[in-house]
Amino acid sequence: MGKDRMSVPRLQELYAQALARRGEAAEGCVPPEELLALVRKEGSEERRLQVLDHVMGCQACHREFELLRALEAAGGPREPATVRSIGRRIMPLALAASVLFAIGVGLVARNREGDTTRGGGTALVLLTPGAEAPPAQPVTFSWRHSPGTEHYRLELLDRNGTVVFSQLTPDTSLTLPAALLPPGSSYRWWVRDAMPGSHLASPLRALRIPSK
Amino acid sequence: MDSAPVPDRLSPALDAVVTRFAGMVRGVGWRHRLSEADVDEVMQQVRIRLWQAQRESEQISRAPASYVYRTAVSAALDLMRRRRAQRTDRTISLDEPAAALPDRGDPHDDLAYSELSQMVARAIDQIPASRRPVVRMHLAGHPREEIAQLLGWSEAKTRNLLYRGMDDLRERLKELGVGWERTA
Repeated sequence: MGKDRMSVPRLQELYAQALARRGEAAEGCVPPEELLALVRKEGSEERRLQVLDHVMGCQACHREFELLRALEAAGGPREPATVRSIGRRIMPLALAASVLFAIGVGLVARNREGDTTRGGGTALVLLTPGAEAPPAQPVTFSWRHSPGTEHYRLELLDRNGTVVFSQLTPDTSLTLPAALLPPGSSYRWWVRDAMPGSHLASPLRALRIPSK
Repeated sequence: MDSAPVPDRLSPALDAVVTRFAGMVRGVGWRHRLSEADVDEVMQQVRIRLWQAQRESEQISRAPASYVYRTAVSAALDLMRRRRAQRTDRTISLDEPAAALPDRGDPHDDLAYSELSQMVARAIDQIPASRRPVVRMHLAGHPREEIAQLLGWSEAKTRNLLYRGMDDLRERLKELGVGWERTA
């Protein structure tokens, strides 16, 4: 192992593979109420850090955590902060909720118009495959080069949103063997800039492999 | 319970609130790779519960958005409890395929890669508990601002703990014989 040289992108790739190997549910899953407390920043910081540590290492809890986070962001009284403070000081709860929804609907509409990415920057453009790829054949995933991006991460998600394949590459294409994409399966996939902190990503695209 | 039909008799106003809420959840959730199946399941439960409660509860008409949100959180928690119960009951088959890993061509490379990934996982486990979750989030691709927001920390505190956590990780890896290309 002495010849191994480590970098942050490589570390991210290795960590992703370690999590994938660990499987869906790790030991000692935390109760749903504690996931909610983490999302709402309730309880002691020490306990929230313990819960977060487990969540980030357990695919099953991470999936549930993201569900609660999305529900909270969409309707909770804590997001966004500017509206929260106005709502608490001035408006009754019902009006605050209405404002939250109005802003949120606007954000959703904006997201849909632009098919945006995290942070709202220019999206990476996906090229191939389209919505369907022939069964029992390798599939080449390709996308347009983005200036300034050194490494891309391709991720393939199954119907449940679980990442079933994740690969870092400096290229703008990656070919997966037919064995990884069995006939009759459906996925969504996306590509993002692998640099930590980057918000550049493509929209999610559906992919179906028809039965033979 | 999961296969119950989706009621279609919500009032138009309430139905519009539910539809908007579901759209917002999806809009927020897709960026975090949220499962659409999970959202569908929760929103189906929300519709069922609202349909059952709408004639009896004044709260729904007074603050429909707030009620929908609280109903959705409650439905999500119930969904998670059911899943945990199912996980406990589930037996593991020896025929189940292992997690899909990228094929690196050479079996020796696969083995070395696998050992290295386990080494990284072990090194992360040894980082002090106060810094470990931040490092995990960073390695999972979450931006620093998102980590700070989730934990209610300042940007400076988040940056400090992340840098120290990454230093810890480098030290652990060095002890295991893994060098570093550059500082991050």
